[in-house]
Amino acid sequence: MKKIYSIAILLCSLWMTGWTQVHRDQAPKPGPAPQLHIGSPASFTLANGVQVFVVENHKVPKITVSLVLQRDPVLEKDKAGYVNIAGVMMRRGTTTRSKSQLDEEIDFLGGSLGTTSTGASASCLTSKFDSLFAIFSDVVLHPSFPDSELTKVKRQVLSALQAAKDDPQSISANVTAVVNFGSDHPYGEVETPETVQAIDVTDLRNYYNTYWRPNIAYMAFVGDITPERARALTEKYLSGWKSAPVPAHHYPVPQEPAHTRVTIVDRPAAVQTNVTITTPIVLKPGQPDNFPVKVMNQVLGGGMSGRLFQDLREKYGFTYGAYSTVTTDPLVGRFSAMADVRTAVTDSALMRFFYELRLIRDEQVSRLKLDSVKNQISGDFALALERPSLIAQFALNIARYHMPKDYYTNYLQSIAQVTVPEVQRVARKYIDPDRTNIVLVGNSRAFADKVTSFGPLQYVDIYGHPVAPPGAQPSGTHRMAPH
Amino acid sequence: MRKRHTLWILMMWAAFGASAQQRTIHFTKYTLANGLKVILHQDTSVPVVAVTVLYHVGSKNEKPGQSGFAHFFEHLMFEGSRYIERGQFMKYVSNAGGDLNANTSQDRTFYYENLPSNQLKLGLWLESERMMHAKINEQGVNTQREVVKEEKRLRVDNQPYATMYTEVCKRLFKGTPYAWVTIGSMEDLNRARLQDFIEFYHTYYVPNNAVLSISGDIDLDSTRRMVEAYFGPIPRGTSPIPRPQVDVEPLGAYANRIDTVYDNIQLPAVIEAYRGPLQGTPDYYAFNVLSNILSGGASSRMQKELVDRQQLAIEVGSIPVAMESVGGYINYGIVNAGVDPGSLQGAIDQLVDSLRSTVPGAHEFQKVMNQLETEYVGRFSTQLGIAEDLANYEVYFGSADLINTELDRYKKVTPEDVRRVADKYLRDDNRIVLYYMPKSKSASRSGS
Repeated sequence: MKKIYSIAILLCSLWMTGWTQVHRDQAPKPGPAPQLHIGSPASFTLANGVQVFVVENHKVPKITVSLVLQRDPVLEKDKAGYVNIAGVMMRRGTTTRSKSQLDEEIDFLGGSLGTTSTGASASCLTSKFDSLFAIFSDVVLHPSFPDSELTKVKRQVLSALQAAKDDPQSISANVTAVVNFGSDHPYGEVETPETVQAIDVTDLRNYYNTYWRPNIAYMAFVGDITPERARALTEKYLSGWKSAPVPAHHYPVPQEPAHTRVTIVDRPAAVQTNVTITTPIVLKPGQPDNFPVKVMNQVLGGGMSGRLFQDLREKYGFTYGAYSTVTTDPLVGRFSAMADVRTAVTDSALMRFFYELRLIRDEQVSRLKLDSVKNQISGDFALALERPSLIAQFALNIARYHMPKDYYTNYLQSIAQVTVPEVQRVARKYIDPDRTNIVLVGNSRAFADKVTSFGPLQYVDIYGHPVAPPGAQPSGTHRMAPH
Repeated sequence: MRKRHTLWILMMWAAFGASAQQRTIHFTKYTLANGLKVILHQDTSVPVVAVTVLYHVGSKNEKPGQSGFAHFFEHLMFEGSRYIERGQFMKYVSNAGGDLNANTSQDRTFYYENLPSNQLKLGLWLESERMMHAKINEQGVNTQREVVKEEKRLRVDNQPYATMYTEVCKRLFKGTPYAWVTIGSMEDLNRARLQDFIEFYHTYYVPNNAVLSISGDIDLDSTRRMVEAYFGPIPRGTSPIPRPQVDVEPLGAYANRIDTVYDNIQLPAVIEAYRGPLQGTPDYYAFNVLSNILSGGASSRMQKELVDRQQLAIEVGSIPVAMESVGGYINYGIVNAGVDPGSLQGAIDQLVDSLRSTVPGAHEFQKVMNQLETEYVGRFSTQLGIAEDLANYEVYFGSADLINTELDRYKKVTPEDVRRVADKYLRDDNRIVLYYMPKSKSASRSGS
């Protein structure tokens, strides 16, 4: 037995309980609903325009800072991937620190620091945070985009693209983006070896100089920090960041297809088909429809008690999980329903998906179901508040997307007000089984002839480019579902 | 002691000053008359509670020919009970605004509900019904058999490199019940029979093989009363709980032999898996320091040398797999396009050899200690995480209180310890080697 470095008090006495009566044959009633307190973070704005939010939480001696840039999406065309690579390269050297110096200094602080094309975040213990923040601001203000690092990053990206050829989820992500948004929309652009090869450091520098500006920057400090300390740090390190006008971009809104169509990526080695049913939708953050849509999606495919999970998994055993999601976006969002199913039941699974998609439109949900789903959403909301970073996220969302100030404080109330007819209204508005995209990644010869009833088939490669169907061949070997 | 119908109440306050920053987790621990261990941790900052039950049974308890059984069984534990209709278990929790799940490892099975704190009683009812009255029938077995097979296809068979852990265990732990992994084989899943499940339930899902760990916004006195009311009447298990004898045999022919696995992948991977220390032993802590030196963070040796400087790999990493009765340690790398796996292996081995011969410098050692400090001081961000850690320490090491002293055990490690454990475990004859190669290459190499 190992030594125990604690004072242990052992009470060896009989402990008499006051017997509590329970009834095993029924679920216990809940106690009075707990009060939820959503604190509002402290906030201030620097002279150069950076908006800063501070969420104090001193439970753990740790601080996380994040920065996000709010800009319109950028069309990359024949250099697709350069925006992402610019994000990676932010962390690959500053005018005074090489990549290995950055790595060494950050690791020595026991911290972490990451960058993307539209933001950066860093985290470490309170005692070391000032030093980490100095590095953080150096990365944000003085990236050097060294040529030698770009060569390395491009090589890694090219290798990763090659590796992704056997990853069904990456393939599906590429293809759903293309079918939903079109390859001439920023959300539908897919990086390929050719577009990555074409990128040079000038692209990255131009991107940085154009978009990394304090006037579109929002920052959040979360954890063991006071607003005073956050203000002192940001003023000390970020005051020199110069503002400049940032260009706006406008794009045509991608439309749902005129008729449902089936897009197939052939993966002969696959043992499962990755099924996605997806449509672009116009649903912006903060829009009132968000509440009934949230409820509707929870009924249909939110988690384990959603209809899709209960149907495709618990009733039929087709899959490990079936879900649906709604993504809101200031430009264009999307609805998706998805599951990975064994190859032999690809068509049967699609039948069940479409049954559920029609049902949620055609029939009103019961009052009982509505209430239980509202409880789920309220509970999820309460559980999520365990993370203080969520409070910061709320504040950032409200500021970035110009959402109503009381959107989150009234969230539970707004959910409670959703009615049965509203759920049906938004199902009919946002889900149209006759005008949607079906994306199937799998061993197509085993299912293609059985899915033609859902819509015309088109074959694409892993980047969403049209290709010829795989040569037809009788397939005596495909497996049937065991019964 | 176990037979006395006494409630042992063990209350602990960890009060040490060694790591001033580490947050102390206060908790109450006691054992019910039927042998169920109960751990309660109160944190009133957010009105949520995690109700968890850890059963000390995992895939290592499976009999030969029954691989995947413990995990399959975990799925059946959501099918309902005497008083919970089929399909209602999940609904009770989601209707209450909570979430639930479970997972199975080689050593244990862990169930949880995250709930709003006013629904604590619901969590106790569900978990006590699961322990007392689980309904196990053909319908559930047949449905979940398909679900589990889909889980295997999704997570293992249809994912690049995902058979790696299976292939490692098969070789590294041969002759022990750790030689197979929790998901099991399709053949064994097809063979699983209802009667075996019922037997499994009565053997392992008994209060004297479980820890009920509750963390969150609870009132300690009333929680104790409710726990007694829901779990007290569950009878203690009557049959002895089998604890498999684990005798690790020499690696024999596997030692340092390069085995090739052909997979649906594009880039080859190199895996070197060593036998390592058991979890919680002094060597284990030194070994985790070693692991961080090799691959913890962008400035770690493997990351810096193999990915950054020599550009031999797109991804490298180390996975310590210390378990209850066996220990392992995996170094792996996925090669950059066009790189030969042999040259990546050679470069990994150079780094490993230098750790065996040279004590790490003070600065590098301090860096890793700083990283570990952040990791341990910054954890405990969720009630679920705290409840699970408390249960783990209790089951594996007999003392939940160790949750508060983990960092101190790291602080005892010296730079020389790192060299010592490197030399003790990272030997060629103490490892197996796997090359993962694209299936498209298998024709040209079929002779190997």
